[in-house]
Amino acid sequence: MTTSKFLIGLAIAMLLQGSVFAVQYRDLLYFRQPTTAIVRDDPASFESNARAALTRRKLTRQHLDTIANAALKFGKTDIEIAALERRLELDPAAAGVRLQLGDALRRAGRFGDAERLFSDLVGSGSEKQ
Amino acid sequence: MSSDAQSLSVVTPHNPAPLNADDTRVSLDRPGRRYLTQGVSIAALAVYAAYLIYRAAFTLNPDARVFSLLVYFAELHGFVSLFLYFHQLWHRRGRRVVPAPPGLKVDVFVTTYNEDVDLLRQTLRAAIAMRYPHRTYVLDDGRRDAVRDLASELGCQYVTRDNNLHAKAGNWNNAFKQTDADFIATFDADHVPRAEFLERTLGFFRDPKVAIVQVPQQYHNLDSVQHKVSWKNRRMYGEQDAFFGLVMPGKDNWNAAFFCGTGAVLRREALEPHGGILADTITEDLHTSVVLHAEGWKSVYLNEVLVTGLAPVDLKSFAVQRLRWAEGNLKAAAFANPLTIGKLSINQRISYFASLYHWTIGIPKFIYYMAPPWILFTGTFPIANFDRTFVLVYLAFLGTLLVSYRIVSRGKGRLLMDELFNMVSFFTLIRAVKRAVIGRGKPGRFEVTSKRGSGSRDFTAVLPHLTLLGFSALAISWSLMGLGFGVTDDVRGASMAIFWTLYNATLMAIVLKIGTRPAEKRAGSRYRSNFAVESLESGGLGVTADISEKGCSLLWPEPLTIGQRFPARVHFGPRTGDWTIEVTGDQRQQPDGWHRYGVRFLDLTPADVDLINDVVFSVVVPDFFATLVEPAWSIRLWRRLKLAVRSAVPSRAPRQVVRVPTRIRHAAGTIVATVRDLSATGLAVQSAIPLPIGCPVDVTMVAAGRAWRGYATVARCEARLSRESFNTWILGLQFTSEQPEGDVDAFRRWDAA
Repeated sequence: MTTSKFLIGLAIAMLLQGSVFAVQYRDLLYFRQPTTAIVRDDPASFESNARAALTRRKLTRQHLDTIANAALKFGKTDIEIAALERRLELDPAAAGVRLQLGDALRRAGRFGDAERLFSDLVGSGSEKQ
Repeated sequence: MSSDAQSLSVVTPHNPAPLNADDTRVSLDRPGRRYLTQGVSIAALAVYAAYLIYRAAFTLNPDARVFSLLVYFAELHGFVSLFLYFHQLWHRRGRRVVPAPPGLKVDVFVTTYNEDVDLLRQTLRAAIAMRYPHRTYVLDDGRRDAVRDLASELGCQYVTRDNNLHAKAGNWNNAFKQTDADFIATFDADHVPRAEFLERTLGFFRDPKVAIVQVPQQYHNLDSVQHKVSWKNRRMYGEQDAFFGLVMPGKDNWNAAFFCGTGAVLRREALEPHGGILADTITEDLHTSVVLHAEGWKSVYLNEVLVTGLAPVDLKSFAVQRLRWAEGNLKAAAFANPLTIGKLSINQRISYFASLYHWTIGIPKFIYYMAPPWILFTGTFPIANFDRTFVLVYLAFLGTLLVSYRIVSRGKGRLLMDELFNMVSFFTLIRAVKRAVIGRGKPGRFEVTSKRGSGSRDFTAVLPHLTLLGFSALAISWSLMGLGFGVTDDVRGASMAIFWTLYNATLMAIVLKIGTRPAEKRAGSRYRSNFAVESLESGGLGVTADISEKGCSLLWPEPLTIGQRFPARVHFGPRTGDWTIEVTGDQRQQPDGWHRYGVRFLDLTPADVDLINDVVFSVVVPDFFATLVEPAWSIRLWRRLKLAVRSAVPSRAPRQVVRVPTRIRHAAGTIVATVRDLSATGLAVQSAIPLPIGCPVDVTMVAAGRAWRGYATVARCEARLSRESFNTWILGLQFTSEQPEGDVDAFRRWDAA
């Protein structure tokens, strides 16, 4: 085997790897699109990709924001709540996310959870003051 | 050992003055230095232990439990390795040589199986030529007529047998049973002893408890896979240098230096109860040593280069050799476990355990090589809380480790090179562990290390590295795709893992480069050497750049043509060879003006080949080990700083290695030689004859396109004693008058060879 053969083999392997990557992360690649593009898409497609993405152990802030915003537009509150809860784990002090999650919980009829979240938010705000 | 046996040894007429070999031990470190290294050892181990506790308490990743524990295991393995290393270097001992008493009965065994007869010839001739009366035996397990004829020609005894039971150990024991000398020096077929080998080693047997005297294994083929030589900086790295230069002197402190299979002298009395050396494993040397130490015998390690052999020339041979050593040593524990065998001291147990434990390093190394690609593929880290605290703790730990390793290794440790050879060997060592675990209690298969290499490119030895390199490249590309397509945003973690992967990948690439280098074209090894070559037609002078059994690389001041032949005299220091030489290849003109050619010596007789080999092993190889001794850059820098602080002026003018041919005319004749080094005030040459201090000489130096002539006096004359008729003298010549600076400086820039 020569260096060139090794490099050719490696290049082929990388191409294959690219295909595997595209399949493996097709849900996350879907959420690389802007929210405006996603909401024009088929709701079923969004839902399947969002549910697949939310089963992953690690998601970036951008993924979670996109999923939450698109879910709001599609009226998929359970997905929105799941995304925002994961988002809050990444930034527990993010007031905007808390507000958004509280609102989603309210819309889902989980008033107790929403109230607790808003109270925490108000409490932490007054502590800061 | 029985008390009867001891008293027998004492009253033997050959051994009139018994001594305690422990009294020959000398410390290699000054007390202050020793206490420093011991203190640093303890402090470094304490830091390492604290680091491990911190890791276990705060940083194991519960989300990747298996991965996290594997990496932790690798770190734990490193801690034990470090402890064992520091234990062995606790106090390095040298030995004061005691004269060999006259009248000892000595046999020399040279074992062979399938090695080239030419190779064996060199070893046998050197073995026979050793000073001190002895008989030489060639133990041929190949049952070859050519070896029988060689033995007959050289006048040594030929021993063979009708089977190959227990391989080398069985071969050795077969001869052991047929001979009766009290002491047996043993050499592998490629290990060429120096003339003084027996004189330097036999004296230790005046202690009746000494069973083994071992000298280091050094190698004369410096183009092997396990050497890296900087001729310019006069430095050499040998993969086994740390073992023979640091670890074995440390083991000697604990009376745990062991027999290494070649370059050793053994006492018959110690081996007699076992019928020779122990043959249950394929590393009979370590196995025999453990048992002899457990029986109360002593060993001596004499750290002098008294024998040199051939190191593996390609990675395949290297892997075969290391697999045998590792498998054999690990399996030896099943027959003579150093932790449980009786009557060893605790330090001997630890020392032997270190020699076995070392061979398991392939497993943690494999974890370290796989960890960063795994991180890149999965995004999972073995460390939880990869925060600033961890980074600071880790940097402090790493810094302590590096500094302590440097200090305890007395400036001789080469961490990067060691890491490179760990990379070379990891897969072989994993295979050895596997074989040792599966084949526990069985001896294993003895594979002879090829001394000439495979002769062709062979990729099998580097397949694991190639696979790992490909895997690492794919991991990096996977991670970059992940970052690029926003799958992950952990730039810091990915950067760390990529950096770690690239570091490993660089080592892998170097291993591949070593493993895939072109096969050796010449049948014999080439030895870098600079002998003056004189044309017997024109009187012109040139110099060799290297030499082999068949020819040399010749540096000549004028252009020659391919196919040109002329009679020439090669000045090998004390001997000369008059041959017709033929130019066979143009190896390009050098930047300093010399023309370099491949040259063949025509019509060489066997006596001529013997002469060349004698020169190589009596003059060239000893010169390697006398020359390539410059310390590490840190020590050189330290010395320079000390000089600067003391505002000291060096006692001699700065010298430069310059290898140009020279004619030195003195009252009694002319010496043709090669300049060794040159300064503004004088030069040094290696001469065939001594000259008296103060003797006036007329010096002519030749370089491409110019010659220089001047007058000097002999200021220094040092003997380099070797085999009979191969003694040389280093002459220091001081210019008698101030030389025009430009003239000498021009030569100082012309580093011909």
